[in-house]
Amino acid sequence: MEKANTLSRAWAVLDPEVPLPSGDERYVDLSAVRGGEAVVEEIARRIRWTDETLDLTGKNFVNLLVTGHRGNGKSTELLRLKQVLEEDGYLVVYFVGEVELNLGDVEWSDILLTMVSQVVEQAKKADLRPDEETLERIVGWLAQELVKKEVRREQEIELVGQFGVDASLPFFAKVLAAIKGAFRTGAVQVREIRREVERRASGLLKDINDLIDDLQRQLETSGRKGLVIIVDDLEKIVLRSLADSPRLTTHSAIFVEHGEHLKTPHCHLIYTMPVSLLSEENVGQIFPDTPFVIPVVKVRTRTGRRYAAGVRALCQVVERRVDTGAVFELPKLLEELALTSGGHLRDFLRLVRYASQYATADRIDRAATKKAVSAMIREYDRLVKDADLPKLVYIARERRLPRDAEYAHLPYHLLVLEYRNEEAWADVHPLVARTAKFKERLINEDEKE
Amino acid sequence: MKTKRSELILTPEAEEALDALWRVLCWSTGHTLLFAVANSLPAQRSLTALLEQELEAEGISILQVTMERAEFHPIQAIRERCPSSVEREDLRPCVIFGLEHTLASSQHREAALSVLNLNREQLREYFQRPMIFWLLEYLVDLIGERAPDFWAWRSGVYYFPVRDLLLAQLDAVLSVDSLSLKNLSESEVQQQVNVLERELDETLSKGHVVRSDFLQLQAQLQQRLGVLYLQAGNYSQGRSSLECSLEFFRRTGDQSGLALAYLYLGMAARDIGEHEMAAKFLETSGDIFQTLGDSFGMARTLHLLAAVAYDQGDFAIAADRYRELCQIARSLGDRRLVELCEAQLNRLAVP
Repeated sequence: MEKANTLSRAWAVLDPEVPLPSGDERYVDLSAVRGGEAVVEEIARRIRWTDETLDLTGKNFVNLLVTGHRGNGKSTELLRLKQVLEEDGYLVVYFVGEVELNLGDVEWSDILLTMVSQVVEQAKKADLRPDEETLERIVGWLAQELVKKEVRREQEIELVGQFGVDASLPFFAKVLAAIKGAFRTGAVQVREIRREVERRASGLLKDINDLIDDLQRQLETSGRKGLVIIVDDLEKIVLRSLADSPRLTTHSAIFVEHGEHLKTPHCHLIYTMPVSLLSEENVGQIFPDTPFVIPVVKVRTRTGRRYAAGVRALCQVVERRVDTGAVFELPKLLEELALTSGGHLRDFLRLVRYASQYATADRIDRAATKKAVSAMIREYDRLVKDADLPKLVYIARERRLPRDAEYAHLPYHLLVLEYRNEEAWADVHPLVARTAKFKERLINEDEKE
Repeated sequence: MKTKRSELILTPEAEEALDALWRVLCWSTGHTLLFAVANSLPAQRSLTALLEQELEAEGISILQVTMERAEFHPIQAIRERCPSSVEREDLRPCVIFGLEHTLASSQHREAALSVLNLNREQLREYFQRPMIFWLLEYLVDLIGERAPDFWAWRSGVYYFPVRDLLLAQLDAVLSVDSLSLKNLSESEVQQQVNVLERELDETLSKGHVVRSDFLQLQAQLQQRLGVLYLQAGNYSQGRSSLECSLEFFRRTGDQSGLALAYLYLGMAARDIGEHEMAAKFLETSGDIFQTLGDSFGMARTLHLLAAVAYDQGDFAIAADRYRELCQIARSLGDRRLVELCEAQLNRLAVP
């Protein structure tokens, strides 16, 4: 693929919001410099091993949680996992919460019903035939709840009329399409459906497993491996306390209180979860395997020394897409931006794009990178509240993020970045560390001591 | 109403931002999320017009969408305001005005932020084109903090600390320069706070301070502190000190002090784009100045009230205020002020 050799092209090809398709030659494997395990390979290995030991241990499936900072390549890694597993012969159902669900108001039942819909859709594409009798059991009562009609013909008319679903679809597909629409738009029926799901939970979970068990049998018969479901974006579920049980949050209600339900389907399951739940001890009781954290790329060591391998790997992300000789006046400018990003991929790409915008000649020069850095310092400066400063100073000194609810918003807003090599550690985002208010606070604290 | 480039004071930073934004709009071929920041609504319009002129040379035209009221689902609202026939095929950059109506409304704010945060995919799906959201400065904080996933998709944030030349001249004549443009650092503020506190201590240590004098001193101290904090951009602290001074002035019965404190509160609210609150404070200030027969005080509040109306694009109200101000200027015999008011009235009369 031809590399971008002008500022405008470089700006276009470095858009961090356009994830690289799996297998793209421009992909750079950053797992070695993230300091942690190679997430994709490790998850794929666990799934393979679990399947290989199936006969010895009985029915067993992998249930894993994955988390990490916003914009740090989680989706890219999960899409790569999907590809690796598909190459192995698995049927991988991958869906994105932000697209399929209303993450502002979501419950466990929404996730499982959406999962059914996605499994059916993907299974058909893979030439499998979901068992219609089981589907009928799942969608029969749902249709009633959705349109408040008992006669099938009337239900179909209402589903088409009320939810605008395609009239030519079979009945179960109409119901699943209507359910999807209802969840996405937060339709009034959603509350009633959730109530009904709570009432019928065990029956519904059994039906879902009947459906999945049948698909697993079909996969086996056709010589393929099993079913893997990856649910992405659940880390974006809006955090708030629940009105009717204040000790629970929207996060703990799904992953702790109803975590067992999420684990019910008889297949390998991978969910992304909010980074704030890492400090929730009870998650470990439900999902005993330690969650996989996709840390940011280490560009400095814990003691503050430049980590050349990390800087180089980040630069490669740009070099695979851009002719840096044509676009940068000096090669070291790119490395400086990599260091300034703290190893956060999206911020690194943003810095390079900002520098392109501010370049006054044909190439990115020092003045342009300086302006790009200043612009981003200003953006972070606005997110730092006075009350955060003592906490940030503490983190800068201790190089660790206390597992305390009061600190949870700092990684959430990327004011603090978490790294992992031999151990987990954290530091203030370099762009935050360069704000006047942080520097001033640090000096004041030093003087006090 | 059109403002020429020469009528805006574009700081070098704003010039640079305009260039960068222009460049990105020339380069963008698909969905691109951009934020442009200016605290004056007419300035937002004028800058868009400037941008449009400059992009025309590149064969790019702009689609402008105005959200004239608060919305629960801003994405849907923008979509409805885009002519449906050009929604997908037309790749013109879309400039969106008026998000402040939604985000200033306590009834709509949370729902709207949640929609922006969690439905950004819809934006990409519906609008395969650059989208530029005009924001008042304080909304940047709100979006960054409460809609972080939406904010995370930004491809650029462009600040336009522009000021209208005529308004700036009126500010200077009436000594009501924008507080936020002072940009004092935390240490500068701290130094001056220390000076003020020392002054207060010295006065108290001399003894013989009766209770009413003590309250008056406290009131003045809080007022000066409030202005200092505002000049450092610390609005919450500035507002809190000024409200404290209001209380002291009420207790001492110092009406002039009270009117001035309301004036500063109005200026602060205007600086952060809280126009309705600014108007409320300024009207209270103006009423007190009127009772006191303080024409200069009235002139100051009238100018600020006109500026608030102007910021909101309410040009008829702004013109009414300038007419009143012009009369006061004549009665004061201030020819410079009369000239500036007339110039502003002429400008506001341009269709």
